[in-house]
Amino acid sequence: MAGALPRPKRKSTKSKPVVAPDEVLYTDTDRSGDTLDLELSSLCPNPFNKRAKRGVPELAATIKEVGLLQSIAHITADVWLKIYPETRDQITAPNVILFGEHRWLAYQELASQEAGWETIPSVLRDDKVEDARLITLIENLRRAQLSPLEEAEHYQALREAGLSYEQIAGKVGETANGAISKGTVWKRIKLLDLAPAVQQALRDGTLRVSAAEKAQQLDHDDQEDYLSLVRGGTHPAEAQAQILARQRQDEAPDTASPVSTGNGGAEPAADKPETVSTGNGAPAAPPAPRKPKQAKQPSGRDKDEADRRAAAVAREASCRALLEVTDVTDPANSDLILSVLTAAVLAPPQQSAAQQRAFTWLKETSRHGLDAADAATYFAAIQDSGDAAVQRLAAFAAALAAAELRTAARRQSWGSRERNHVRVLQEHADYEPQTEWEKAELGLVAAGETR
Amino acid sequence: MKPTSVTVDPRFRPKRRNWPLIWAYIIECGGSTKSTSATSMAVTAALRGYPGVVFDLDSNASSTTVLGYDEDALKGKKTAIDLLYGKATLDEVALPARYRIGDGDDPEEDFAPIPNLRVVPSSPAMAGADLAIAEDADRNDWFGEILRSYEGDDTVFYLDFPASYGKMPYSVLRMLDEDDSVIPSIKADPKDVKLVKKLTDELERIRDKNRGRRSVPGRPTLNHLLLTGAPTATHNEAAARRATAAAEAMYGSVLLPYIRYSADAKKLYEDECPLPILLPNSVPSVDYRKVMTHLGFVDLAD
Repeated sequence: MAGALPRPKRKSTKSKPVVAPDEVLYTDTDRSGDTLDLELSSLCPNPFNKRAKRGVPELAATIKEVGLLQSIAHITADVWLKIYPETRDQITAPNVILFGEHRWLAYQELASQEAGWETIPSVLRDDKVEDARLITLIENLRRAQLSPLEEAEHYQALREAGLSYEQIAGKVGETANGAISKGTVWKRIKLLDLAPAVQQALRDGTLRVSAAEKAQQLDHDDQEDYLSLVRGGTHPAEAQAQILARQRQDEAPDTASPVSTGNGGAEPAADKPETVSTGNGAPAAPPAPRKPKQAKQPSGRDKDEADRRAAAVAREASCRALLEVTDVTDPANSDLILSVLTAAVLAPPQQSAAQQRAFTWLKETSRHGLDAADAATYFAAIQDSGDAAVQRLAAFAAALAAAELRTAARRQSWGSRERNHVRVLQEHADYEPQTEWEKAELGLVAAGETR
Repeated sequence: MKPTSVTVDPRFRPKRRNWPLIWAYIIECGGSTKSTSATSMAVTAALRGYPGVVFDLDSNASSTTVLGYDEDALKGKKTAIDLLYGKATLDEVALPARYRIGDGDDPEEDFAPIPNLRVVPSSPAMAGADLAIAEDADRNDWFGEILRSYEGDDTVFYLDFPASYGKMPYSVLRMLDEDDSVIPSIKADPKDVKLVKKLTDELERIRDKNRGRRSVPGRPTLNHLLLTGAPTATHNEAAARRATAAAEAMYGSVLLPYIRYSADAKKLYEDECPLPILLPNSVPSVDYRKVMTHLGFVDLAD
């Protein structure tokens, strides 16, 4: 009967049972999620925590009075170093604090005063080691007023860890108050490029973030001038306009100004150096008032003119931001790209100026992909490259530039094209209408109501 | 697929019904050799030419393991809980019984099939079977639905139960009548023998509840009692002797030939192989063959 069957493979004939390591009961007595009482000396700070340590004595007093309301969290050093070997120098204890450094410091302070504070309850979170960087950021964003520059450093660190602007915005937005757009993240990171003096002012709190952002398009010298103007009581938008006006004046003879519409490269250098070409082939836009500023109080018209230019500069920065953060291969962005392209195709063509401007932007954001001497060569090369993603980005950039050029050149009241363009920037690049003039053009009467 | 019209010996289709004999291995007593007996008797009959199905209804999946399927092998496969939810048919769930002959996981190379035998595998989800029935009263009919739609040529359904009398065992036992058998398989141990009374009480309760119901037979009957680990000349302790004497005194009319004690019987879980194949010449294997002969399952090859 059973004799005809093949012999079974047996385990019970071995003298010792074979037991795999993971079958042994409780080899890991402490598991992720367990709350442990840790010696203070067995913990070291999180190398990713860039937040300044503030209010430790106050926190110690509170803990002494009501006790520790929430346990801190830690990751064992071995696990930590497997993922972040570059932080080896900063790991000085068997455990790394994931969050709760202030509470740990407060405990140290209490321990130095009286007995009974030698250990702190801490949740083991080895399972979160991969996300430690992000958790540190989120925890800080959630808990306390990070300064904008601290925030920028965190975002920058996340960028270096390989997250896109959009991913950062998404992950941080889940926990922060209200949503955060990728444009906000981009603008924050750009703060790190500001002149040291401006950064310092931001750190001191003598300059507001919105004011600092207005300085981003200026070079470092101009930023310092801008800073002194703002500190002197000038409204930031006005200060920016002043500096830009001065810049134009300085550079007008050579045409190639940062706010030029950029068709200078494609065409022989400005035959009408007085005119800032708008490149839309429309009758030459009336030259901006070039009179040296004699009047302290600009007339209503001059003020509008300055506003208009300030708005154009701010929008241009937004356009660049949008170009930098938009992943043209992501289907989620198809609607955006299509709407911009549609607007460009429906409007009267002004290709070469738009291409020139687009070329400048792409180079500034290091997304041009191909090196070329001028815009015409560049776009020809893009056409030949056969790389669909680069082509799409170039087309997107050109369409965006066309819309921006038209909007910047528009002197009469705005039509739907201009308003549409600004709406795209508001929606996708986190653009805030800058000046009263622009808000009026958009039909936003109440100044606070920009969304 | 089995043909729809099959000729099966009428003794396996009592009252001309379309489903096989049902043998329910149940007693609310842990470690009482339910799974050992269910698999050993099923395998013995199968090797003698009698097709059958082992239903593993215990969430510990002991008989599933012994008949060749561990948790990894069951990944993605349907199990008894899908039958209970009515989400699968018997033929979709039942797997060919097998045992391991190699180290790997190749179904062809590392396993040998046990002819004539299928197993309805259990899963950890079976621990929630009682609750599933409590939440949806219609599920009480799950086993009846399987029987009524059955078309195969199996001779016996061997049901391996958990050590409890809950809603799931009730939903199955109510489908038995006196031609089927509730078979408490117990060790020769005073505790096991004592617990048989609780089983007969439970069977009476099921009978009472279903009295007068037409669609449900409702007469589960203790027709056979299996005593395992029975004392031998070399394994002879006083408690086992007294338990055997008590079983004889109380349940003499239904006692099957004894399954004698052997340390071999403890090896089938380690080797994941049913006893009659693992150690065909060990004392209990010989005794299980005697039992099956006694029950009329003579070797069809002879």
